[in-house]
Amino acid sequence: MDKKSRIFTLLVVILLLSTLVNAGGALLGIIDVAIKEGLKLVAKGWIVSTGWQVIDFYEKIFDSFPLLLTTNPPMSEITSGMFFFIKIIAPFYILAIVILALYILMASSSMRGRAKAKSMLTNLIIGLVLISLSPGVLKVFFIISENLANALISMGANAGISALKGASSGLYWKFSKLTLIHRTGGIELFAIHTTLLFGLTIMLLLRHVMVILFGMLLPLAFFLYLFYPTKHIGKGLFMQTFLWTFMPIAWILALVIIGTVIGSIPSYIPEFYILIAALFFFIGSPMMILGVGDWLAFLVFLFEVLQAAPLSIGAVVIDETMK
Amino acid sequence: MRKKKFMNLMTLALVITLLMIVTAEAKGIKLESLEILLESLIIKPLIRGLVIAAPIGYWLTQDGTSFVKNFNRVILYNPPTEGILPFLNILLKILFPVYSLLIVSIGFYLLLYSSSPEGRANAKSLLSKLIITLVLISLSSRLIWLIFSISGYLTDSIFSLTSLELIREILNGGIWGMLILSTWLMIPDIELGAVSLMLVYVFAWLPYMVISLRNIILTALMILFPLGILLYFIPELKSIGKTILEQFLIWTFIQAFMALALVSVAKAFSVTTLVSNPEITCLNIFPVPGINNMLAWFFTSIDLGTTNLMTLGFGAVAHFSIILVPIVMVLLFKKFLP
Repeated sequence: MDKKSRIFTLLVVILLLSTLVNAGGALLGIIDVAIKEGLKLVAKGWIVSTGWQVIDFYEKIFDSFPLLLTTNPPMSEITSGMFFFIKIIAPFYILAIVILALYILMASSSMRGRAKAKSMLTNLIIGLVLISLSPGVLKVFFIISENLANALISMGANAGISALKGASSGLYWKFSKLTLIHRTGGIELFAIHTTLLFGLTIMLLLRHVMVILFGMLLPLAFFLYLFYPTKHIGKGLFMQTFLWTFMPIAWILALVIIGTVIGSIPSYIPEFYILIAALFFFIGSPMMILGVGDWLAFLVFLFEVLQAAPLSIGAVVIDETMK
Repeated sequence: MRKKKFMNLMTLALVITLLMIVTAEAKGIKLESLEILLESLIIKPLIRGLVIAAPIGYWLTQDGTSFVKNFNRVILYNPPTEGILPFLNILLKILFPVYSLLIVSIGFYLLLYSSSPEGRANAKSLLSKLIITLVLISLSSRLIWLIFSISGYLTDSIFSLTSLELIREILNGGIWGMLILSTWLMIPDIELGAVSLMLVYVFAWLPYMVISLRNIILTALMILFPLGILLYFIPELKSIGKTILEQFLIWTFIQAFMALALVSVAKAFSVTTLVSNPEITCLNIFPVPGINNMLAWFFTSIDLGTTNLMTLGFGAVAHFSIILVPIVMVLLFKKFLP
């Protein structure tokens, strides 16, 4: 090809390109909308997939439910703490017994005073036995709690766990659909969902911590229970040890109830709502079954949470649609 | 040769695309897709990662984990008893003349007026009470120091039940785990990570706030302590004095229970097992190849790119237990004085 024809070809190419570019620029507006919507979908997909990774991370706690609910911390970890408190209590104990004995021997003159002191001495000796036996008492609590938990969990708790998993995946699907409608449409639902799952994890782990804490304080509970002014503190500490040890029974019972109820729900009731109710029932069950705290106030709080989320999500979606 | 042709074609396509964009812009057509691409998938996620998550991470390496680094010293801290001395002096200046007058009046009553044995016994009991109160009030700063020493010694002994390093590791795991989780969530959308990000701040600040609240309340109760002793021995005002003394003792010994809660968390952490302990990592968050991943570099450079459910859960429990302890203590130990 000679030089002239090369220049001619180049000019033709430039002319063609400019026409193409010019037409393309106009066409780009239409293509742009399509690409924009596609990219929006990619961004939403990214949110949904990230949400899924985190929900999946939290949902793994459901697999550990049977293990966490049927076991208690090993006694060896608690006894060291118990002996620490026994060492603190022992001097006070000896002092109390010596003072009482001296009172009976020397100071007491009235029959009534002597009788009262003797009854106090008996109480102190019973307390001494109880304090020495406190690791054994806690062990008995653990054996009863674990045996009861194992017996109850075989009555259909797995169906309850599946229901809770169902509730969680139901919430996730609602979140993903709302996010696909609008980028921030499912944010509140996601916040509630992760808070619920994280709350569940914390509650289950907190029980183990509390069992260790109040287990270590059991000798102190017995000691305080023996003296009239501190009797209610001793009783409170003992009740806390009892409640935290037997809390899994309430949870497993809740799982069994949920499992039974789920199987008997009429088909015209959407399953999702029952599953969500089951999830809230499980969280609130120790408060209802063991009477810990004001469960009615807790229900009011749950209602607030439940009604606030759909309303705010609805507001976002409507607001965006109206624009 | 084929590769060269392909490269030429690609360059041509790029030039044409750029020319099309320039023409479109010249014609006043706004390319929203380009905006979305840059805003939602590249620029904003990068900003969130590098301008929000990374600085918070840096803050955590410095002041953000101040509680984690100093938790034992912070929990062991008690307000200085010297602070109440000016207040105590004022109170004593007011009380000494009143006391002198009362003691003299009772002396006169016993010597001159009292005739019944019951009246004399009452007067004697009141006199002994006045003297005990006077001694206790004069010694109140020493008494406070003694109570603080007992509480401090108890707290220190409780901490010795487990390794402080383990507690530190758990607290650290909780706060960093939450940041990793919130980074994960905030990269695609900032609102998605709002709850976790809020929890990072809760973990960093709230234990300090609770402990500061203890110190403020304790300082106030320290000032009221001598008055509490006085009121406790006056039958009509006993309930007020009792409340002051009870609250003082409860808020003092809260430090021992905070230590006990942290020790329990450490013990539970070392013995509790999960069937599956999933991990979440800062690596591979970005969907855009090439940019992947500066954050991972940041987190792995401080050796904290990954967290798991156990570490995160127990870390959160450790932080929450510091917050829960005062509530439990005040509820459990109220009304213990006769």
